[in-house]
Amino acid sequence: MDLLRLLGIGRRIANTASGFGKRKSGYGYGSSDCISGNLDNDLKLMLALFTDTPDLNVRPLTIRATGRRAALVYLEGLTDKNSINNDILKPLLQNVEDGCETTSVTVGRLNRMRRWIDIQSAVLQGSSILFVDGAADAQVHGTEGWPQRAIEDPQVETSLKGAHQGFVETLDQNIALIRRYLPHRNLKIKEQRVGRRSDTRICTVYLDDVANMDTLAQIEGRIGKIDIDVIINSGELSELIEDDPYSPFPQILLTERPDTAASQIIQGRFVIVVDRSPSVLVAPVSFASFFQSVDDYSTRWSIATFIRLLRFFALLVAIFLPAFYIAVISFNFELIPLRLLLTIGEYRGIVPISPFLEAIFMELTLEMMREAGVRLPAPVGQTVGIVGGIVIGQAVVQAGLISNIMVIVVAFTAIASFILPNFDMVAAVRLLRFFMMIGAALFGIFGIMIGFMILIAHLISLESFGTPFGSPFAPVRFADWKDTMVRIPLWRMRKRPVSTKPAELDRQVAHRTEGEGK
Amino acid sequence: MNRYADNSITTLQFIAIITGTQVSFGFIDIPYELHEHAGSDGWISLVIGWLVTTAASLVAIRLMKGYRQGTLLDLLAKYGGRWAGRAVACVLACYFAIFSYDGLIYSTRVIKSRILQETPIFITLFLILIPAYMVARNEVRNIGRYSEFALLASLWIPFIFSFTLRHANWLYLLPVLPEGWGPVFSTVPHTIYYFLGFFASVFLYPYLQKKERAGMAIVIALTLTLLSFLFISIVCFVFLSPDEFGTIYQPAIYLLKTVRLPFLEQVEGMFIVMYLMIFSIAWIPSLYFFSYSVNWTFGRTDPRLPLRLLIGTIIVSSYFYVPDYWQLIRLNKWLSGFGFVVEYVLPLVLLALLSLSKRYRTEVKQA
Repeated sequence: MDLLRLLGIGRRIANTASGFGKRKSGYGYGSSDCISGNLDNDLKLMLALFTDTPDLNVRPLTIRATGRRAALVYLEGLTDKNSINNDILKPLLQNVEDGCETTSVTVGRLNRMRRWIDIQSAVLQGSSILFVDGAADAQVHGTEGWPQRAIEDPQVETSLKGAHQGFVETLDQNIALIRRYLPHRNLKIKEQRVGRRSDTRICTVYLDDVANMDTLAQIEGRIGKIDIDVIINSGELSELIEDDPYSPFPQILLTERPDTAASQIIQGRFVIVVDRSPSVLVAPVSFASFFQSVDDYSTRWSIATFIRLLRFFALLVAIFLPAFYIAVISFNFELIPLRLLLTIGEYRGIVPISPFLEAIFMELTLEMMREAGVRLPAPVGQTVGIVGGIVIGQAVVQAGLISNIMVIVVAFTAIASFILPNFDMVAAVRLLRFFMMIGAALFGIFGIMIGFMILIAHLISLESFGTPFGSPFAPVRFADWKDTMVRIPLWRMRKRPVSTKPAELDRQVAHRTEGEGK
Repeated sequence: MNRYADNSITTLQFIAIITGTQVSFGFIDIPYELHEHAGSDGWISLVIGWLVTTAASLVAIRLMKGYRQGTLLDLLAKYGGRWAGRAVACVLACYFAIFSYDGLIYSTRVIKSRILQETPIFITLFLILIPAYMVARNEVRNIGRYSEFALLASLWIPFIFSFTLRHANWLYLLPVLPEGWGPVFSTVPHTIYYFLGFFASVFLYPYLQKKERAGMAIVIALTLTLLSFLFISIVCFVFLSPDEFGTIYQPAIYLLKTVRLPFLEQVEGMFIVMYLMIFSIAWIPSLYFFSYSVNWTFGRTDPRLPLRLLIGTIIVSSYFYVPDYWQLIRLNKWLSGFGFVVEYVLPLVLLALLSLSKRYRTEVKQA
């Protein structure tokens, strides 16, 4: 067939794949966008589409059973060699008895495709395509086998008693991990594709008799509106769909734990799995969700309650302590008892810089050390501890540049922020701390209070997919307090959280009476 | 209609807004005010004031029951025509603007005299108006959330004050009614000022999720107000001797000087700062109602523009002129009268007019 037509199709397909200028106009499929059935022509077009693609493998063969010419096309690194050799090529080349080529191939997933655009994306996703001379459509075999790692312990969210399987980079495996916890046919999955170049699969997983369908519509709508070239990570998706992108607070929970994801689904929330990303998104969440950890439910409820309270206390410390120190030292020294003031004064006396500068300097050092600890390779990482602990901590005090008390304040703040279970929330807290410090340096304790009120004013106005972010504190939902500041015994948690507006509120039938066990 | 449904508030939020507006600076001022006029029997006047206010608030609720889909202004527009609504809207806008201005200046004065002596008032005002603007621009729902959070976050206040009770001398409350009922009754009008704010219900009514509970909610709100006023008044009455009362300004704050916690030397400084959250409920809802009334007059919906104008005016004007203490007291007196007319008399008059017009209409229909 003439080269002109070939080039025409090639250009049209190339346009649909990437061109932002043409905004989907290239999707007008005509008959000429389908394969011709002539093996030589089709292969020529295939090679024209994939120029400079040395990993594209075209294997010409003759099917033994029918004697027809055919070619198997696949991308080398994305496919499973064993499967191609043993399940496709071997039966095709060796089987005699069968009259039809499809019945002899022993691969689980087999599709027939006709349009070039589909074939092209199938090849790129790791399928292998069998063109048969004279057949009007190509056979697409599911032979995906890209490089992937084994399932490991979650790295960021470690837990003492939770499962030791973390999400990996493959969407189907991640969904399988969730399904293992909820083998129920009402666990539904809505799949969407986003990204013109990455064509990323995004699956929203939920229980359709529990979750709120209005929220689902919002999530799907927001994902559907995204028109971007590539989505590399689930964090990017979360920024693209969250309610208030200017807020310092994360409004979508990221987790790499399948057990956390499953327990969120059962509470009526939605889990959004992004292909190639080892953490999934949970929405809609509230402020309190960031202070729950999967261990809370497997330790004794009294311990869990204590730890919950400890976390909220740590939140206050991590945001306000350095600011309070600045306010008390430089403005409102009448607030603290005299003897404490004298002790502080003894150490502060020799320090030549103002409390604010002192605090900013130490906090910045702490932040740098923390960042260094994350980025440095493990063998070098130990030096950070030595440099931080000895050089900064001790030497700076001995030199009289920073007071002892300030080092204690910074250390206390750091420890407080370490016990918050969610990394994104800690990041927000770290940032807020500096604003509070500025407020304290300018207006003392009054500045901190203004900062607090602004914080509250902001938190109550935040929404996460139509549900209030500040719940259950503001708006107050007393029913949800059972699992926020405290964690009441599991057999008392008869209802799901109201804040997610679940369709089915009841969770369990009470099987213990009030007085039992006493 | 949809506008109100999307922004609905719960009963607790309704209670929190009304109680918060009433309690805010009354809590600090009322013991002095009561003692000045009625001596240690002031608490009786408070109870009478509460009874009067409850009656007035039930009238307001009764008025709103006639028209469930909108605020008072919508109701007026329906029965009295658009211009009747506009006239009342203008009056109300003025009322709420003055109400919030009064609250703002009062709290700023307290802060200036106790905490930030050096900072110019316009800076303090600017700072406290930032969170106020952030909440008030976001419609009723967020005001409700903010108020209920503030109310819950202030539950420590009674405990702090109960520390002072070890210095209490309960005999100061006796004798009851030394000069008969006269002073008690003459003090009742003075308590009116501290009960102002329940009128918010005529704006909040259409947003309420459970309208049938409105009457109960407002009684609960007023009772909460009464209890907190009674609490602070009696604590002050038994703490300060009748002679001391004349010399001490803002006794509620003075009381805390006797409290000393192991980690906190000066509790009253901390108290004022943390009380700012309750203070703010005095002006945040009224700022919003101001912008609502203005918007209603001009048929707009975005509350931000009137808010910005008012807030800007307050801040800029405070650079040049801030009422001093005596002017503030005069303003309070005047506002008390204005508030009495708006909150107590107006609903009664409107209810009477409304039932007359309804009767007239049915008569016309029958004829």
